[in-house]
Amino acid sequence: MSAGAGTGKRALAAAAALLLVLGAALPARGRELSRYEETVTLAADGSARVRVLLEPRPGAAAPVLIPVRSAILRDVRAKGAGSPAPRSVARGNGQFLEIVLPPAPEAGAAGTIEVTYAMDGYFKAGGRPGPFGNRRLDYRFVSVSFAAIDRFSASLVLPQGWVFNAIGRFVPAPEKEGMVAPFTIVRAGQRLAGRIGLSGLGLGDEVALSCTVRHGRRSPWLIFLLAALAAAYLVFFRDVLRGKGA
Amino acid sequence: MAEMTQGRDAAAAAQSGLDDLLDLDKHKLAQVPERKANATERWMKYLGFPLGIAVFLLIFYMPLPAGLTASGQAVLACFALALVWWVCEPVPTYLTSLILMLALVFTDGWDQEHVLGVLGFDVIWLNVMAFVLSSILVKTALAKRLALNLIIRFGHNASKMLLAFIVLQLCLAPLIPATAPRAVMTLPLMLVVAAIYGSTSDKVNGFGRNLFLQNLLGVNIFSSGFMTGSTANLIAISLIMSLSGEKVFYTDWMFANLPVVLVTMLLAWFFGPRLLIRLKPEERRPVIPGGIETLKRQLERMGRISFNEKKAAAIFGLVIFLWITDRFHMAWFGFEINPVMAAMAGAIITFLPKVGIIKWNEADIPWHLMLFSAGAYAGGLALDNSGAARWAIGNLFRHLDVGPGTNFWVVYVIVIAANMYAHIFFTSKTMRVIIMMPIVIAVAQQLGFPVLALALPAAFTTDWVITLPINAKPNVIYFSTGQFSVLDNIKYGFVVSTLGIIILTIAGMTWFRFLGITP
Repeated sequence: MSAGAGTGKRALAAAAALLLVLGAALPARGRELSRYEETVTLAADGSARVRVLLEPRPGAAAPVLIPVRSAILRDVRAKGAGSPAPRSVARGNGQFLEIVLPPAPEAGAAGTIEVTYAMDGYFKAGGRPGPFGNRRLDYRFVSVSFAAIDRFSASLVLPQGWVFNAIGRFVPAPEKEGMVAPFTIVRAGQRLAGRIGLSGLGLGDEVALSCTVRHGRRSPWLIFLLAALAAAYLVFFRDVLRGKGA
Repeated sequence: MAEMTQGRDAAAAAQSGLDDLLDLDKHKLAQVPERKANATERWMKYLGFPLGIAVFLLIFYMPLPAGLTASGQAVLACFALALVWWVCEPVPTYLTSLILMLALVFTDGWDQEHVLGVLGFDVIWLNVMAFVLSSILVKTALAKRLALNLIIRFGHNASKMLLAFIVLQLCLAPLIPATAPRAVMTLPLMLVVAAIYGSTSDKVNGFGRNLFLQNLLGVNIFSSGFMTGSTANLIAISLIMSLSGEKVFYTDWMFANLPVVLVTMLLAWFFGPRLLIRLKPEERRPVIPGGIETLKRQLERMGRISFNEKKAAAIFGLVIFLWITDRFHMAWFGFEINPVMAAMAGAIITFLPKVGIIKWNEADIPWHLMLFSAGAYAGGLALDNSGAARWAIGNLFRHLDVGPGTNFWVVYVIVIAANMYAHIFFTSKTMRVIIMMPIVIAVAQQLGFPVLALALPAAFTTDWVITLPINAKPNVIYFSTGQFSVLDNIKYGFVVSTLGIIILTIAGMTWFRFLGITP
């Protein structure tokens, strides 16, 4: 068996175990959200400020888990209905911010809850970059405690002057030929942002993006080189006009 | 006595000249043909080099637009450079392809593994195997025999000869769904016929240019007359059905589009040699001294069909049989024999010691063509893979200012024209369909028009890949003969594409409306 296949199976087993643990720990049916919106604003040093907006649907009070990438978070805050206090918890291999959504007997009663935090090392900015100055940037969200999310969106706002170089893996993959991954690159002021938009996520659904990013400035040496080449061609290949040469 | 000797000498010289003319071993495809460029082509060569570089630098260094990745921008720049150079030919086309492959890797447009992997694609294998099969027709003189028969029956003048090939392509289109095999099957015949009309790769004339370009049109455009004419047609239909829920039957497609295709090809046949590439009076008849009678004698001189010719016909027949019967393979064998594997089976028999017909050194495989194709495919696939093609097409539709309230026929013409001309920038029909069709369906749905009214006529343009040698496999195969230039191809392709838009628009307002496709 290949190493890749082995790793994949282990990851699958870990995810299944995590879901089992969570399934046992949580109420039989989790809370439903009409909106989950995550904005990750990245800095050139690899740190990030993250803002998560939750718009719960009516339901009883319920603890929910927001996936985070690290146990070490700064400036963790929550605003909105019930002012729930977030706390960092670990479940299986995953790190989460746990908050308790207040009870909302009718539509709109719960309001919007905003959770913000900052963290270092969201992507590896230090050390030598990869070929062509590329750095890898990953995003992953697994719905572990929301029974349903009507509208899901995540935005990765790049540091100013940075660009998305290439988009690698996207989950969920388009089902059919002709369908495209729901990922768009938009301008957010002076910055570029990659926006993921999905609807109808259920418990256990995964959203993941793997891409490379880099500083958008291109070295000007190619301009001089190619301009010199073009000039040399015009000089040394004049005989083309007489039907000779190239 | 002296006169009789002189007469015999002249007849012998004429016979020797004819033998030379029909000896296809002297016109090997593996050798890159040297063409003499005219004044316009020389200027294009000279200015094309800096122009390509200027276009590359402009795109590569422009501020990155929203929606596009940096690798997509690099691919766009590299492809634009290659497109300019393929058209202007400051360097040979295969060299441009190699430069494109290198540029894609060096600018981080596409990774080396994928770029190099293109040479292993089934399309390249199909080309190699098809050229092996084509070689046995040439080696055994079966191609010469078939071509002589064709000319003796239809070749009294150029017009009839060109029409005979159009009819041949029309007959093959519904039988063989892959365009490259059709191109390779007809190629040896075309080479012999062109030679008889005085057009060889080192001395091309108007007949050769018209013959090859009309066959290029025929092999591609006739595919759009039938839903099964190409894989891309089937993908277009499956996209229409899955994204809009509309159902299209084989006969719906054929009744609607076959008349359009026939009218277009007849117009191209009639006006091509009269307006696009004019035939001189001396190019309208075979250049053989003694005319058709000499050719009849030549055919008689060949004698009865040889054992090797029969063997070649059997091998080729087996491959064609496998190509034609692909839809029954599952029932017969329990698996489907892909056109590449069918051609490979034929090539294997061809090379078998004692059983086969030719040895490896006798196979005429134009490797420069494979490199040209590989570069073109790498560029096209990189455009798709990086999202650059989708971004460009999406932007085009956004900038056309099509919105609610726009007249249906304005939208119809825009959609048809965009789909038709888009082929110039693509190297794969499949890729073009996958990118364009969902956009057309979305436009129809957003504007409240029946999806079929826009999507089906747009799908009819799928196989019109006729403007550049890079646009489709048959184009590359025919281009390898050196019988026409890129400029000739552009002239024919652009005019016929435009004609296609006009005919599809008229059909939309009349025939398609009668059939209930358009409102």
